[in-house]
Amino acid sequence: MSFMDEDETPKVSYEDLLAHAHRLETEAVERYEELASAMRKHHNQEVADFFQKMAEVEGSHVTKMENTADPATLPARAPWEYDWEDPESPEAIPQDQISYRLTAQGAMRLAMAAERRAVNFFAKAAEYAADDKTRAIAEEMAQDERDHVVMIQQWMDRLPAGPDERGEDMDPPMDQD
Amino acid sequence: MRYPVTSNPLKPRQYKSDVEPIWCPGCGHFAVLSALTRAWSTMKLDAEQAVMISGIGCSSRLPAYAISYGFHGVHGRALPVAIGIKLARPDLCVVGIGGDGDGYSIGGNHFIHGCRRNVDMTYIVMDNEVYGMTKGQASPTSPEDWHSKLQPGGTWVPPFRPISIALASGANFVARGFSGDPNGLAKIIIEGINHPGFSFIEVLSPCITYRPDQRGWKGKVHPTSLHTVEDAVTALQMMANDDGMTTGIFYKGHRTAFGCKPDGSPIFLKPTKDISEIEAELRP
Repeated sequence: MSFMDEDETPKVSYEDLLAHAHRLETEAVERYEELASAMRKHHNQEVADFFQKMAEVEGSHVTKMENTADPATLPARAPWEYDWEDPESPEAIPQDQISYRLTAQGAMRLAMAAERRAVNFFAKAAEYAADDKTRAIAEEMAQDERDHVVMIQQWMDRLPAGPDERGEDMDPPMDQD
Repeated sequence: MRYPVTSNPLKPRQYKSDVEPIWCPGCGHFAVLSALTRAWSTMKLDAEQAVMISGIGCSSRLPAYAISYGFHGVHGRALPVAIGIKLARPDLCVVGIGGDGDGYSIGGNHFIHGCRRNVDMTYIVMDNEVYGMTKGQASPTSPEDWHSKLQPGGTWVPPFRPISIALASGANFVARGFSGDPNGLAKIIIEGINHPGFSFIEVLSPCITYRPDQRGWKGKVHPTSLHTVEDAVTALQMMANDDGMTTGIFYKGHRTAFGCKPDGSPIFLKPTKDISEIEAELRP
């Protein structure tokens, strides 16, 4: 999907939007499940629980997409044929931002940034929608992501203020002078 | 497509096993596993048609995290086993898995001759320029000036250049990917698997625990501006000034794979003699 035609005519079609939305949510679920598993294995249970919860939240979005349109009916795309600005989809937290010392506050900030990227993606899709039906769906999806931002903020508000990563590791992996 | 498609295609997550990876949070290898499963899903590959063979190291734990057949062997010795499996079962999609220490140091000899022999398989090396599992020693691809506790001040030797070695040794497909772009890597893996002969794919896959500086790789990795060539000498010349951070498919050759006819069909389908006949021939 390219948001703009050669003559700068908006051309995000309904099928393109649904395919991208489904892929975006599916990759978000996969990444949150990976992160939850990794944190669980490395005894960071609080963060693992948060990422697992996010996987479930995004999973409900996947279900919503599939109830809107069976993915099998959408044009088949290879994983690299989606129109993301970055190599990965907007809602997948990049692995290079992750640390075993991540705190719950840090995890929530990363998730919130991912949700905001998703908001921006759907807002742009709405702006360049080819028709009113597509625009309405894109705006609804953008609002769903805004709701997620609010939800995560509410969770953060229940925690004390804190850094993104734990300060000192009493048993660091490598002791370099 | 050289491998039969399954009538029951799996989603990428379904190719993953129930074994939870022990990789550190943030490890690049998670994305390599995702890229491989996305590749297989796109190919609609039957999981029972695939086999992964690994050596020792963090990257070599990957076979346990997929539902395909897998063999977790000894340090540096993935390729001999992989080659044997492919020759015995040419119908299988054989993928060798390893890291830079496993593949380029103790496994270096097998790497050179694996490329030279050109058996129809794919070898994926996850390069993080460190021995991660043993807590941070310099590997063959560590930069010359990388300070470690074991080698203070650096290794004092230039790093190994696997792309050039693979080209010079006769690999039929040579490419590099990045764990920060799993979808692009999936595409490279599919092309490597589908290309006949020995396909070598180096994957830049950061170790965020023992090489935290590699978090900066995302800002350095870039697609190659060069086109894929079909002449190994030309590819070698192109890679002479490579900065080690380019991704893409550099070379696709036309060598006939070992044990195959020019059309790609295997020569050694079934044994032509019973083992007792062969033993009788060898007796004095």
